[in-house]
Formats: sequence, structure tokens, C-alpha cells
Amino acid sequence: MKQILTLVILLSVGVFTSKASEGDRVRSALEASLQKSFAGAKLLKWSEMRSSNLLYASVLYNNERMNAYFDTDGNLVATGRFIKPEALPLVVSKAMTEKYHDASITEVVEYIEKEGTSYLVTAESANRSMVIHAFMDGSTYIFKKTKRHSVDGNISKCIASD
Amino acid sequence: MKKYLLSLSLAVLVSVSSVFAGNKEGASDKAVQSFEKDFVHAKNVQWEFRKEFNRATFELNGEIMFAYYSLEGELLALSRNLVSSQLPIRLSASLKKTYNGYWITDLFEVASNNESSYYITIENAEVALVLRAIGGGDWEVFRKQKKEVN
Repeated sequence: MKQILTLVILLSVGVFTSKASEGDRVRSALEASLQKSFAGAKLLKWSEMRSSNLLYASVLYNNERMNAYFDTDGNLVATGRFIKPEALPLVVSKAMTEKYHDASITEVVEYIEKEGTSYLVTAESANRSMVIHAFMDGSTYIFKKTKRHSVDGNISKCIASD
Repeated sequence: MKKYLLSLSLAVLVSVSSVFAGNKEGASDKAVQSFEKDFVHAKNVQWEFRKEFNRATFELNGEIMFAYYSLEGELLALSRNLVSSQLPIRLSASLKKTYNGYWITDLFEVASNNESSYYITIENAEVALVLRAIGGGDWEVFRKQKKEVN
């Protein structure tokens, strides 16, 4: 459940609030924590997430933007970055092709936490859009599903979770 | 299976120097049938034959891939060459942290038994290392070779 919560947070946008007052102290703690896992990474900005006890940071690593999530003690709990579909491990991309052959991948987030690396894959077909959580062993589940049907020329959506 | 995997890892590490290579003539029928079922959209398929297995080299979604089949038609492994930006970031970060100062000379991924493994060859002036990361694990030294000093 904790994982799901984190995923929801990762997918959420615009829930942050800045906390500049104690900026320097927190920033130093986050930078130190970040360097342990990602040497040479630069912390661009950080903010507190209103909906949870997590801190969010935007990070530059290997000239790529990455999102990092810390607990309030400054420990790095998760990172996420957008990757190209061809960077998915073969086992994952093969599983995606076999299980969701009618959908094409539009977006992939590589998600890392203590339990390991997994992928949030957005895939779309003619009548549905899905966010699929895929793991290194090729197992997957549908995290979010959006069905689309046209009614008198209008597109309506209904959202379901597995 | 162990015998297959041993031959396979050698073949993947040192590219297959088969006597016969070309179209599907000579490949095991079962291997070809399985391949055509597994990779419907494969293009430019070339087969190479060994006593223990057949290897298909093909293009899929713009990438060159290698599929290894037993003579009974079982898919033993799938591999492809990678560029370093395709590595999972955890491996990329670990490499940078532990092997800073080395340069990369080879990098490929092998998928077998629902597990992706990454093999990378890195070198400095003294040594060439082949590192391997299995599943979600970290790098381990798979092979080490000291360079001759002239």
C-alpha cells in the first residue's frame, strides 16, 4: 500500500509547496543524501509535498532531469525519471508486447525505491489508455485505466483501477 | 539447460563464429517456427548455427536483436547491444561511483528466464573488466584481464 501511495504521489503534479525559510539546512541534508546514491547529482530545487510527509527535489544527473523523493529526515526514498521506451529492459518490453499488444507505449517512468527498480508505462490503444506498473521479472499490473468512448462526437472518460 | 546456458554465455560474450550463417536453411525447423511465432514483426532475419543452439539476428523496432533457440525450439535468451544511457539509472550510478576513470568498450543486455542481465566491458590503462548485473542486482566482476605492459 505504501508503494501505491508513493506511486500516486509520483504521478501527481502540482501538489508542492515551497519552504524557503529553513532552506539551507534542508538543502544540505538532501544534497548529502543524494550524493550517496547519485554522485555528482545537482539539486535544482526542493519543496515539501503537502499531501504527505515527503520532500520532493528536482535533480540534474548525467545531464538528465530526475525527480527525487526524501523522507523528512532527509533519506532518499525514491527517484523517478522519464526514459525512452527502448531503454526498458528486454524482459519488460517483451512482457508489454505480449500482454498489451494492441497498445502503443507513449511514456515510461523508471521508478526506483528500496524494493528495487520498476517502470510506470503509459500505453494507449484506440479505445483505452493505461498506466501499467511493470517489474524487472516481467510481471505487470494495470495501475490506472482510462476508457474512452465517443458519444455524439464527444469524448468521455471513465477511470477504473485494477 | 545448464549446458545450454554455459554454451550460450560463451557465445554471447565472444560473438558466434559459426561455420554456417545465412537464411533459415539449415536452422532447426522448430527454432524457426518458434522464432516466427515469437517475433512476428522481425525484419532482416539471419540465422547462425551451432551444435547446441541456433541464433537469429534480426531487426525489431529499429534495434538489432539476437535470439538464441535450442534445437527443440525453446527460446533460451534474447540479447541486444546497448548504449550507456539505456542502463537502469541505479546501475549507471553504481558504475560511475565505483569505476570512475574507466571507459566503456562494450555493453549488452541478455534476457533469459524472465531476468534481464547486463554485461559491460570497462577498461583503464592497466586492466579490462567485464562486469555483470543480474536482475535488479548490482555489478559484480565477471571477468578480469590485466593488460600487457610494453
